[in-house]
Amino acid sequence: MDFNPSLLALIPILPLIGFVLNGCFGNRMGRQFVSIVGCALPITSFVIAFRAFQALRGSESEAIRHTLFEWIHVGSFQVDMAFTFDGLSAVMCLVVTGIGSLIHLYSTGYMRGDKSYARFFAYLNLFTAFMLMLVLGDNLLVLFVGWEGVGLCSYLLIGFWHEDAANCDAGRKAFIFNRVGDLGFLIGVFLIFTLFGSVNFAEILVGVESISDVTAPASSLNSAMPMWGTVAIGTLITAITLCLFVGATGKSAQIPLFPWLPDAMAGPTPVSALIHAATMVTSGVYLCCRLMPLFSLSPQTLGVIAAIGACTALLAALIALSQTDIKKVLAYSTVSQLGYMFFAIGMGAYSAALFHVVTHAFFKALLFLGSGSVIHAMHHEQDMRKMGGLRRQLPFTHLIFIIGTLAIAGVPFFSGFFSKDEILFSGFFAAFHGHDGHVHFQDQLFWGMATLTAGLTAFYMLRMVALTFWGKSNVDDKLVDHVHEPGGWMPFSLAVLAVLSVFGGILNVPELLHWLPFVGEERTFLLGNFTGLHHAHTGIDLDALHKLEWTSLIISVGVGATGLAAAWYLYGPGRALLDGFVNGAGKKLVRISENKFYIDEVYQILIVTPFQFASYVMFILIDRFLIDGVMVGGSALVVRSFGEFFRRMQSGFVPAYLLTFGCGALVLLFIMMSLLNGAG
Amino acid sequence: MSVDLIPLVTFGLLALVVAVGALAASELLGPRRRDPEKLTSYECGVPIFETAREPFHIRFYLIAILFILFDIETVFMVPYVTLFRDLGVFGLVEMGTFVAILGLGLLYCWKRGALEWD
Amino acid sequence: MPINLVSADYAAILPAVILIATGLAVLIADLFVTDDGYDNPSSEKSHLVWIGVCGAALAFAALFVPSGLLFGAWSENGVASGSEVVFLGALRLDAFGGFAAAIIIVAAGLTTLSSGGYLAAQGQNRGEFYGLVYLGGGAMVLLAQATNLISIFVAIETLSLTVYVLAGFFRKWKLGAEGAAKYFILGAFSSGFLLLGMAFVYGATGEISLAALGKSTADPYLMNVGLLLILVGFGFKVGAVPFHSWVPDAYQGAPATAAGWMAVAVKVCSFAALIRVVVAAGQGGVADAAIGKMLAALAVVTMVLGNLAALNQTNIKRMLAYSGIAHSGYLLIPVVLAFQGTPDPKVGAGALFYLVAYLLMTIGAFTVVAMVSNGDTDREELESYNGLAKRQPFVAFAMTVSLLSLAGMPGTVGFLGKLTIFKDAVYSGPYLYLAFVGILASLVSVYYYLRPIVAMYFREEGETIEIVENNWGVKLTLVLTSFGTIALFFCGKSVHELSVRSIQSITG
Repeated sequence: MDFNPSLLALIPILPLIGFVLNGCFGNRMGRQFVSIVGCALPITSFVIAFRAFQALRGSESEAIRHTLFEWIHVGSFQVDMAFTFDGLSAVMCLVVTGIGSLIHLYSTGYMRGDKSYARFFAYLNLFTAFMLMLVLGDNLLVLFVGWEGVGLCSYLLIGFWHEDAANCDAGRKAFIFNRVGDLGFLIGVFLIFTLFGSVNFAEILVGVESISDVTAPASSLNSAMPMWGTVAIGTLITAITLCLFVGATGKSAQIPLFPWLPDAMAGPTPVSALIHAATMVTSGVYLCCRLMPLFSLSPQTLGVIAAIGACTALLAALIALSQTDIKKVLAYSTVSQLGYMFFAIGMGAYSAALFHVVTHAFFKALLFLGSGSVIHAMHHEQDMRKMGGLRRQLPFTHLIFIIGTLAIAGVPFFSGFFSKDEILFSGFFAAFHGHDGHVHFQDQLFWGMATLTAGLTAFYMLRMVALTFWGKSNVDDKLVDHVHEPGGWMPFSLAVLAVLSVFGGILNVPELLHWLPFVGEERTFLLGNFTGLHHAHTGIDLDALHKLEWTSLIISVGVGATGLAAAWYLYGPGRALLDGFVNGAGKKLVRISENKFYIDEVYQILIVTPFQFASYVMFILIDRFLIDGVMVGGSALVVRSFGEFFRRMQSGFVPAYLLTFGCGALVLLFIMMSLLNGAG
Repeated sequence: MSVDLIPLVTFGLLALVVAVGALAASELLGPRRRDPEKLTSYECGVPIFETAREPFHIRFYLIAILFILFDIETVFMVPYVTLFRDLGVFGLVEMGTFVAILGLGLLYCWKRGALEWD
Repeated sequence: MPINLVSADYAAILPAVILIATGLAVLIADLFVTDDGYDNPSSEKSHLVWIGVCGAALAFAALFVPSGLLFGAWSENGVASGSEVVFLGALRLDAFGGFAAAIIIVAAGLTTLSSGGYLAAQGQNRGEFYGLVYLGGGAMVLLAQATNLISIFVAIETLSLTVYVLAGFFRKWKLGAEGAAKYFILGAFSSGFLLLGMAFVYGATGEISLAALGKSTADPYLMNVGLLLILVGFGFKVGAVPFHSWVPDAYQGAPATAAGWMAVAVKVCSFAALIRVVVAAGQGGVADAAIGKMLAALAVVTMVLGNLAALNQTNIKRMLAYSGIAHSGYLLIPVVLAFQGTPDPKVGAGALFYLVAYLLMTIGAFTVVAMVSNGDTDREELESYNGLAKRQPFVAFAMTVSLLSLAGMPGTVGFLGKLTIFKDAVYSGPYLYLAFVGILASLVSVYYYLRPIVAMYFREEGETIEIVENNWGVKLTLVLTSFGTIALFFCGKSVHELSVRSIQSITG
């Protein structure tokens, strides 16, 4: 199929046009205009991306490339505004435009009553544009523009209802946490440029190949590495990947930079679904996948990533257990699932991580939009303790939640089952077989944490459903009669996402399960093979591998089922038991979870307070004394004296002028003559 | 004495004779009717014993400047005359341009009223 | 000895002749064409503006006629050809003179365009203004082409006379008369230096041709002292510290548009002649390196003091006057480099390119000053600009563009100009420090260039002030200057290349 590469540029540009139109004319043209522009352009992007995807599948080439314009050409540093559409970009692009479009449609209903309707769609379009730039960028700088752009949009949208100071604080918190990560990211980019002499992905990967292939001449490396002299390249690569990973922890809310994400729920719910669940927060994972060969060169970094991922997954799941705000539960769940993805990367299972990005985008967007429906129906009530029994009034939303919960809990044959199983198996393989034939204790520990998290996930998700939809109603009497199912495009978006959440697993079925209906041989590891990220396990024969896989599968499904059953029991028939535990033996534990392991407080004491103290000292010392006192005061004094001097000189009297002139000429003559004499 | 200087000396002597002769003739032949105005030394019609900062009428300057301007510019005509034949048409056009510019200047002064005393 | 003039002679003086003819035509037209009385200085007299602009356009076109000044450099892509000495060595037909002439001619056209409404509002709209601009313009073009000491001196004196009168054009205004008188007296003083220097050089070489500067001489000492005195004379013309005292007074007293004309055109032709002198002197090897050091010292002192003195000014014309002094300092850098000829004489091209930038931004700024003052000389204080952006967004925009360009902000041609000059200085080696001082000085300058912008956009206006606005010429000038200032940032390359070809034609 023919596909004009220059159409690639349209994919991010169309939403950008939407931003301009909605931003400039939205308020004047009315909601109809905003809705049509705001939705039609991302949908068109989706159509183009889909056509590009078809073209890519049909062709032999690895990628479609298009250079929009030469961007920075300074000496050897050459960067173009260029886009690459390869397998990985295609998957991310389809997720961003596809789910993005659905969420745009959903928002036309959800935001209907808001007075800043046009502004909302303008921001949402801008976000889409930047996110597409991020995933389509042909080099690290284009990616970085998108990276910063989505951060900006995230900040704007978290603080969308800026009349409330708390929302603005949440926006700022997100921004500041991201800045910390971005610093790491930037250092990583600089180091990459130092090492490889380029920030272009293709060229970086060529450089990586020459490093991993010891026989090849290292010509593609930046031969002039003045700073690094004797530093071993391996150390440098570990530093690079760790720096990039620091960037990823900021964007993708991993330990230690995760606390902003739960606070980011202050934004409108479609924003949470699009930015803080489906797309932006997964860009850290995308970055690691994009530079997979580079990360693979550093086992140390992969170890750190696995540890951080597993810890984040478990910690967030533990916090989610006790949250009462429906969106906070989903937020911690997102952090936890992102932890899974990084755990997978740490295990070297990049395709599993990407697969989980996709399925997570399906079911987490579904859950967020579902929670949006609940919140919409409840007139912006988010506390689950004031819900309950909504099953009768919101049967459709209830169904949505059930599907989402089953998917995230990893119930067999829902989408989440496949991706999660692949991740857990990669952990299991490392823990009990070992990539290099050796088994390490820390791998077993990480696998244990991940598996425990799977159970916890199932538990807190069903707990959320139980508190919201089951049991007796705690809804405010005034609200009871108003609770209604959403209208307009909202059910449509929910239905599409629900279908995807159920059947999305078909994208990357493991070879083990190829006998499932609709699958067949050709769909095994479809996504992994298409993106080139799939990495077959070697050093083990097929039967043994299948045995391991079956074991892992049974364990993870069993753990998930246990979690579901426990939640069903404790929030149903066995409620008394739970209450007894919460008020008795487990009181302290529950409090720790409720207070999010006191992370915010720890940060306050360890970082914020010293920082404030330091900035106060700086203010007194540098600002007040040095700048205001010495520099501003001093330079003002100098300038004023010059002014005075010139005022005297510029007296207006011609004789004075002649004197200046004559003296000046004489001084010049004098110096000149002495120079001439000196020379002669 | 170099022979070359003879014409110069002759010229100087002649000049001396003419100057002295003219003054002497005037003294000897002229009628003498003296009055106080005539006894003052001649200074272009301006009172001579006065505070030096007394302003002149500006028109004196204007007329004088215009006179000098046109006077000196016409001096350029003299060398042209000596080379009239050698320069041919080119010289004619050149001099015509010069005179035309001069004429424009005169026209300008005239229209602006510089030549009117009142 | 009969003079045989060939077509090159005519082609060489054609632009100057057209300018002078235009000057005369304007003078005469003012006498006879009387729409509402020629003696009514408050009428707009757009016919004079038309004649002037048409004359400028003709003169500009005359640069590009076959065998014209810029014809070779423009058409034969990359090769500056057709340079020849004309009028027995008094003038030169080359692209360098043509480039300078082009700037002068455009400045004359823009000054004419912007002056009609302004002078009428002042009640001082007399044809002599335009006449002086064009007569002086003719002399300036000749100065840019002059290649012997006599023609240089005659051209300088001629153009000086016209600008002395322009400086005092508002003769009933005390400041104007005062500024003009000071300018005249100091000008006469500086002409003495110039002439003495020329006499020394003539004494040392026995020739009046600039080419003789490069030949060996029996008395290099006399030659070098003579050169220095010539530099002093030019230093006065361009307003280099310490020969700058006249600049603020003369600019403040002059009509705003005339100040713009003086700032641009006098600088262009003086720098052109100066570059011819230093290139000729520098190439021969007779001139001592001390001359380069003196020039560099002048550049440093001028950049630093010009900018520092501008900091405290509250009168916008004085501020722009000091800014003009500072810009002379920047422009002296390529002159130093051209003298040194390191690494090649092309480095002087920075001056030509910078002068193009300087033309646009300075004329733009002074036109806005003219509009705002609108017949009231008190409106040249900074406070008069408070809140201008609300009433006159376009005028404020044009001023902002000009000031940012003067400050050398990216996005404007001023940035490219400074970049070119400083880059050349950096690559020159020994004069790296000039770039350093220049950059520091430009940093300081941002402060005072921003003050009017702050006033226009962020201050409340004190009193409602009418400005000259319903005048097509003024508006057109602002459109042209601001468009040019921005557009040349993006496509300044061809102009820069032309300037490089032009500077190569000096010696070719």
